[in-house]
Amino acid sequence: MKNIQILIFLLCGAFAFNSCELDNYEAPGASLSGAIIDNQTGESVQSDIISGTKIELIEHGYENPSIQQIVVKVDGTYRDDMMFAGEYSIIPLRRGNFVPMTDTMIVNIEGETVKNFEVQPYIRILDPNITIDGTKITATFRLEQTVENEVDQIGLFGHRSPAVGEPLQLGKKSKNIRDVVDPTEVFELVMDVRTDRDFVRGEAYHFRIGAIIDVEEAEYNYAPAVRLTIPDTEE
Amino acid sequence: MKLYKLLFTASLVLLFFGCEDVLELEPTNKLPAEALFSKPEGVKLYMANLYYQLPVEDFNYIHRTQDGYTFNWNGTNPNNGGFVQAMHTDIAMHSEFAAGLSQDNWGGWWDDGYKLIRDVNTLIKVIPDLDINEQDRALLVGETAFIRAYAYFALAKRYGGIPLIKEAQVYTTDVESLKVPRSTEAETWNFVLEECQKAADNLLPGDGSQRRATKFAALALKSRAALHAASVAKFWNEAPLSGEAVEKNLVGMDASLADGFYQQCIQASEAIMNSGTFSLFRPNPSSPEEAAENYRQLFENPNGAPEEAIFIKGSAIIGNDHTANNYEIWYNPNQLANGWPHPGRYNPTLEWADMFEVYSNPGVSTKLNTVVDGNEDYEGFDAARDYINYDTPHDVYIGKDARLWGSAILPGTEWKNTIITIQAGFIEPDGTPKLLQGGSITVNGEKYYTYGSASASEHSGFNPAGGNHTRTGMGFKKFLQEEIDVNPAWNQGTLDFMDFRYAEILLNYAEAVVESGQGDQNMAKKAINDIRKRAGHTTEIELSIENVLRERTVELCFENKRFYDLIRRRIFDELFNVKSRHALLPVLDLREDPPKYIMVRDVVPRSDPKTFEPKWYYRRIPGTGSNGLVQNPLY
Repeated sequence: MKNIQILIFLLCGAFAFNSCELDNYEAPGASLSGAIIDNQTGESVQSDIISGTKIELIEHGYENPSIQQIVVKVDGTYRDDMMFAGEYSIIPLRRGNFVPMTDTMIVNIEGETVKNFEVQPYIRILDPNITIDGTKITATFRLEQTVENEVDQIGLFGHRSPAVGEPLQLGKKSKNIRDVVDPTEVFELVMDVRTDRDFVRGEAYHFRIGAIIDVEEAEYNYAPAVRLTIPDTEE
Repeated sequence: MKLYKLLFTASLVLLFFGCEDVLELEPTNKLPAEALFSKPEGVKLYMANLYYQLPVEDFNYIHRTQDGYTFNWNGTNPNNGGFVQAMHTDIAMHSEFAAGLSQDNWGGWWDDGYKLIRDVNTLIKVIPDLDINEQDRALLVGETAFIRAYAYFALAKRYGGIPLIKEAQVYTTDVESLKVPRSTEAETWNFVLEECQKAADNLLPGDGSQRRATKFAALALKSRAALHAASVAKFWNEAPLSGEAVEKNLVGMDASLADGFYQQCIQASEAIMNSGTFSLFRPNPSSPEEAAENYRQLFENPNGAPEEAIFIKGSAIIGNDHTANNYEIWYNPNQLANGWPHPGRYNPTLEWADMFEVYSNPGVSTKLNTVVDGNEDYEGFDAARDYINYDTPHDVYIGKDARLWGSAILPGTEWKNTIITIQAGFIEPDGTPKLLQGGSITVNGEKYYTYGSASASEHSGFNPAGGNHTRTGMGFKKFLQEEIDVNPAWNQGTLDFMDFRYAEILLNYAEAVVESGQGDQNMAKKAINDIRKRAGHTTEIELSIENVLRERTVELCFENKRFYDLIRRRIFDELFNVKSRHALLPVLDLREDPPKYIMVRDVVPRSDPKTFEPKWYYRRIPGTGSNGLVQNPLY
């Protein structure tokens, strides 16, 4: 009788210790980082957090892999520190504020992998300048477009967050252009927040200049955000 | 030890002989298909279950998905927070919570959709073999086609092109053979419309009182589905998407297909309009007041309007029978909660009220008039501005379309023999504003409260207590029953829901005519003007797309139509681009003697702006890892 019990115990033990083999994967220890870079200026391309640029990857070695996404930060850089090491395909970046890429890239991720993407942004915002006078915020800039399509709209956006942009703003001033622009033309947008209760006197906000091209699924191109404080008292 | 040997042998004996008959026995708690379908009662029973599963966007439908439910969500847990689909659009707000625009699984209907399709396909398969006469057989063919068309329409408007499973699949272990790839979006809509026509050809005429599919219910479904398909084709380029699903035409359609779909909408609508079976309920009111009451009664008792109701989903039994609803407890104003802890949740917005015409200025939306200079913005109270003084907090609404009065409880009006107090604050005699906060003041011996009365249970607006007070300045009325006191318990409402009514068919027709230039312009113009006449208008307006869309929004408001109107016409992303919704604050102005009311336009208190992402024009397909389907763009 005792023998049987021992035998049963041993059998149970054997099952208990052998069944977990498949779960013992390594934790994701590799990282992938880099930036979306303007192929002419070498600067990173500013974008939005909300429906902005995304990098889509497919990890090889599975039968039905699903697409993984990395959201690119506002300043055009990105970083994911929880990647499984291995071989990945990167789907050509196509939705964004630059001419869609066409070639699928294969990248082998191990350790700290850096991958930059050179793109041609639809619009470059030149000499951006934002000043504040009382409750009036004035933006001046020039535009250089890199494709033949028309520039659809320009805008000045304000929000507490430095990720300010067309989808994340408390106040905006936009203007329809619907035309091809001359790179020497200076645009000016003036936003007055005097009656807008979202902008509290004496507090700091971020302002950002943007322009969008008339191309399907295109997103805004931006200049870097500028932090300004709304003066306490009115003149 | 001998004993063990014996036991061992005995169990071996049992092991090899014990199962002789057990595996051959028919289970007694399950009915085999042949037995169920061999009697007409069995078929009827089965049909009742199919109707229950029908994705009707009624009182028990929410755009969110809770506990896996989108339709019939009260099946397990009736507490859906009091959300309705309209709160995700521009026409309404929830009094307490943010109705976020979308999450990937919200409003989805995939597993349940294909379950209904499998169930109806099982019945379709046996129809030719049933022992019934040919007339009953034709009716069954029509009714099952109606249910299948309804199910595929609900799937197509959410997911675009989908796998079309036209015959019952037999289970096999070879899973690969059961997988069906997605059809294109155009093929899917064509299949939906073919099924509608098949249903219409086989069913008999009838009205909504039958509470089941008729020839006209099938044509109404066709009218609605064809208009949706036509709109997607026509407006796809307003918010184009890209990716594999688009390249394979699984979502999106060429604009050239629009006219064909509009034509089908026109034909189906005309068949109903020319049938002589339907007309508008009480089409000639003598005054706007009468029109408002007529309109309200149409929804309070749809069975009293057989001339307008085309298809009614009935509800009879209170309690957990899965058809009773909770509109009475969720949406009556706070003052009438009758002990229920969470009333007042459905708040019509200022945008919605602004949309209506005034009788003196037909053909345009006229904003409610709050300031003397007429510059109606949404910037809240500004002491420097000159506000119009009103004697009551609802005088500002006088002259507005009767349907506004019939659909919303306005501040200071009577509902269920109670004056509903909705007040957002007061302006002190020295000009200090006290808005959206508790407080009182005594002026000339009279005590005034910011919210209109001392106790939170004695008013119905703007007090943040419990989220039970409207925060837009209006309460919800359209589907509430005036004669019934709130019974403070779950699933007590048995109001029937008009899924299709004649006014929608007229509006579908008018929109299809305007958008495509096909059909009869005069008949379309008459259609929208008949609806306006029923609402107390006496001046005709022209047939234009603006007029048709405004009529559609105000006539069908809160009937779960607005959301998919914004989807199919691809205006959601344009309308909801960091969009705040707005409130009209009735404020007592104590600078005047006697005090007057001023109305302040403002952003809805405690609310955040919302943005609609274009990918939400289609929902995420679940389980693409195992079902092998192409996923929709950007998921």
